[in-house]
Amino acid sequence: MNLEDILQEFVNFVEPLNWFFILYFLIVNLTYIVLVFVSLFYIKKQEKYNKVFNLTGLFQSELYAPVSILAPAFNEELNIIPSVEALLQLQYPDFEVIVINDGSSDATLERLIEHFELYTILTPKKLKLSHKPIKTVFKSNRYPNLKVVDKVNGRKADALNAGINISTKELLCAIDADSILDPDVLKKLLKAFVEDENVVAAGGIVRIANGCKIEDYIVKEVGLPKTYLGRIQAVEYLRSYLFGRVGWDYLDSLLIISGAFGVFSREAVMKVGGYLHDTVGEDMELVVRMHRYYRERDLDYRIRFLPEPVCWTEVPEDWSVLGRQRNRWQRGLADTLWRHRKMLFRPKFGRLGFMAMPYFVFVELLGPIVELFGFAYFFIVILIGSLNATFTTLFLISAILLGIILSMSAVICEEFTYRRYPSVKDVLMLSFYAFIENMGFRQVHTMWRFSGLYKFLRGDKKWGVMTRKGLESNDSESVNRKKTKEELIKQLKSAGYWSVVIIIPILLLLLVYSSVVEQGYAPNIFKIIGDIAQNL
Amino acid sequence: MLAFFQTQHEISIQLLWLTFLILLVFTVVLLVGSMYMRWRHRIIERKVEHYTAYFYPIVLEYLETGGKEDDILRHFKGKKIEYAVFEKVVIDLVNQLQGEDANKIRQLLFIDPIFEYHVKQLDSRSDVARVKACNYFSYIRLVNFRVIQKLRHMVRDKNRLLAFSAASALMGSKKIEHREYALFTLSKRKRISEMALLELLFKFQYQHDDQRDIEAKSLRKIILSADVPSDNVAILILGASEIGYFQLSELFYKLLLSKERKWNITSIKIALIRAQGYFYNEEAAPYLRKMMDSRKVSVLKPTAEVLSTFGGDENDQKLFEKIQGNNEDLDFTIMSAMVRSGYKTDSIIERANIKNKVYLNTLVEILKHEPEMNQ
Repeated sequence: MNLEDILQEFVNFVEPLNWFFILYFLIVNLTYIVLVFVSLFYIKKQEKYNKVFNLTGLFQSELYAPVSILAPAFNEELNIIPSVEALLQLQYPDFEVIVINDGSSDATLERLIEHFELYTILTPKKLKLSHKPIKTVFKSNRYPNLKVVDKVNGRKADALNAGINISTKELLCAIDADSILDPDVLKKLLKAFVEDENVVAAGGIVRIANGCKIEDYIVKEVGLPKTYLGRIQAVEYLRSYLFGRVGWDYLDSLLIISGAFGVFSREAVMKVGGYLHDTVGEDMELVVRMHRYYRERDLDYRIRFLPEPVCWTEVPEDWSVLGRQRNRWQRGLADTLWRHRKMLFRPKFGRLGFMAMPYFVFVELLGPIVELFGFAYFFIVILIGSLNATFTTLFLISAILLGIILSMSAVICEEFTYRRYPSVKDVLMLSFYAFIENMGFRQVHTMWRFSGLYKFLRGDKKWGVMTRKGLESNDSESVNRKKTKEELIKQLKSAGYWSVVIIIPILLLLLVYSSVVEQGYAPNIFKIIGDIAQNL
Repeated sequence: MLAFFQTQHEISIQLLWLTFLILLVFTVVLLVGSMYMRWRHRIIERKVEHYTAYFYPIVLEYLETGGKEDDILRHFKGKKIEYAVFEKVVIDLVNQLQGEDANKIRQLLFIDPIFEYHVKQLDSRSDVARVKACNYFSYIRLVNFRVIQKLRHMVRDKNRLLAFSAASALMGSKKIEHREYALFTLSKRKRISEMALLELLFKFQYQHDDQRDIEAKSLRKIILSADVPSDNVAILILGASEIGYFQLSELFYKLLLSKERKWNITSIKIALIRAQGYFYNEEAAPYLRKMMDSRKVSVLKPTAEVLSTFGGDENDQKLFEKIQGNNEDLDFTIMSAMVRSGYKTDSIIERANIKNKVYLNTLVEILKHEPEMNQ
């Protein structure tokens, strides 16, 4: 049996699934389009509300809801000082900052002790949530509202639990230590708790800090990232937050609050038992568990997403790091959905059980399998030439156009409301990346997600190393690397990813060209070249 | 058969062509749309800049020369944006200036076109427009009869933000019955947040003290009403005490002693205990000393704080009596409450009858650095 036969066998095997693919494609995109429409109107309404709803007297009172900001830090020596300094400058009347040094092996703790003049206080004995042992609790001489917890490494969820135990305020704000919060972010996010006393958790939008001008850990000027991967992620984040989460919030079925920035009622977190240790998707898991807890007990509650309060974060601009991140996200998603599979199609969970959970299972979780099969099928069909080129081209281009439309809708949502990117050039650039994202990057991304799913099935719960450049040090200081074997493998992998990104658009162009030739609208250049070569 | 498949194939290709064309048009529309929005926004921004630069000197001249409102009106050409920018300029200046100058400029907000525009907006179908109008009336604190009727209607609206904004605007009225109506209506709602209710209570106070007595009367009526949910009653008691309505101190004391079920709900009880501390009502001390025998830590804590605020031998004796050295939770709660009310940690340790030194040292260390921990 030669290769062509094997490929033909595969095509014969997948052929009956054609309608399944088309149906899946239609359902997924229909869901997206519904979310886009809902979001476009809902986000505008929210923006208008935020403009007109001002709290004044509230902040004169001493009875507002105080907030504990929890910032877990693991090997963050590059960013930790400016990041904590910025947190301490937030505009809010009553808050404390708790930095949890999660067993860093670098100088994170030393830098904190030195800079904030930390002194030891006694570790409280009775701790409600379990986590790896706390070594020391510090308080700052310079800032009375700063505490630092030094503990044995146990990953982010474990560190957050330690922070929750030490916290004393009514609300908890969980962030990443390298997140940059807009100075008025707490005031804006707390509106959710003012509007509705049943709100137990609320998340804000996470935007990309790469490319922004940052001074004293405050974003002074918004700009687009300068790299391909950074820009692609700028579009992705806009899409994910501005029409994904806004839409789910409208449908009261929000399942994720980003680990980079979310505010929770301390009481609610305690009730559900804090963060789960043995998962890599602790942020989503906590939110889903909250839903489950409240719905099972028929209690009134709400989990909100507000698109106005902004948290800025550094995204990876390196293929390997990004791949590991996406792989982890997929494993976290799979883990959460598996743990809470009982919520699926159960009337008790309402829209969550019949809309949000099925969407996450069939689109987000199993999507990579279907997409990968689809890509492979198309590729092989083209390779063995058993499908009409016009049909294939049109279908592929339509799929890509749909992807572009969805991303463009996020860009238009942004234009419609917040316009954080200042220049027309930025908008054009975002539109361009919304276009090219679907050719190459999307396929690589599908592969990462597929690999994440596979690793989940094999029981891999590793976090994966996340290297950061440091937001205020994008200069030569950090670029002093040795060419090790690892580095070489990393570069080879990058080259592989780049080749996919380059080859797929070329293939697509070839496909378009061959269908044009098939229709007789253009001469077959390859044939002409072949003839010339033969004559020569 | 072959012909059938060929036809099917042709139809599917035609359908795909159609889909492709629709999607292509849609993509172009979105691209052009986002560009158009940016362009439109820029034009509006420029107009705002233009009118801001135009109105600032006019308003400043009005302030310096003591001109009339009618003179200002001549500068308007009837465009909506002019009034919006003008309003913003005036509010900016009012916020920057103080005293008479601010008051004089504030008068410009009452000019007919702006006032009438906002009155009209109260009838708008859009909730956002109505909230905006409410904010305007809340800001100028002038509410006439026509506006009051509309606002009173809106306070009952299902949209809580709108109801809240209308209530805030009604708080601008000099007449207590309107403010009372707004506060009462909102207090009766079950799902209103603590923050929102407190904010309203702060706005409920009129700028001048001459209304203090009637305000207290109104608050008494609302707090005693059976229609107000207990959680809201607790917030109102706490807020009224914090603001300092001394006229209510006697009522709160009576309610504290009351055996009626409603006044013994934990949230209300805590609010009433704290109220005794805010009003420094030492008459409540014997009762509070009895309360120290309660098993509820949530009640013990405010009670201990209030008793420590009062001070005195009897109260101290009761507090130290409860620090027994065998219940860390209880001991810490009382000791931290005492520290919060001004006691020195060392003096507490000296008098406390705790024999276990390790236990004692632990509490001392926590108290030194963390008076608020484990609340």
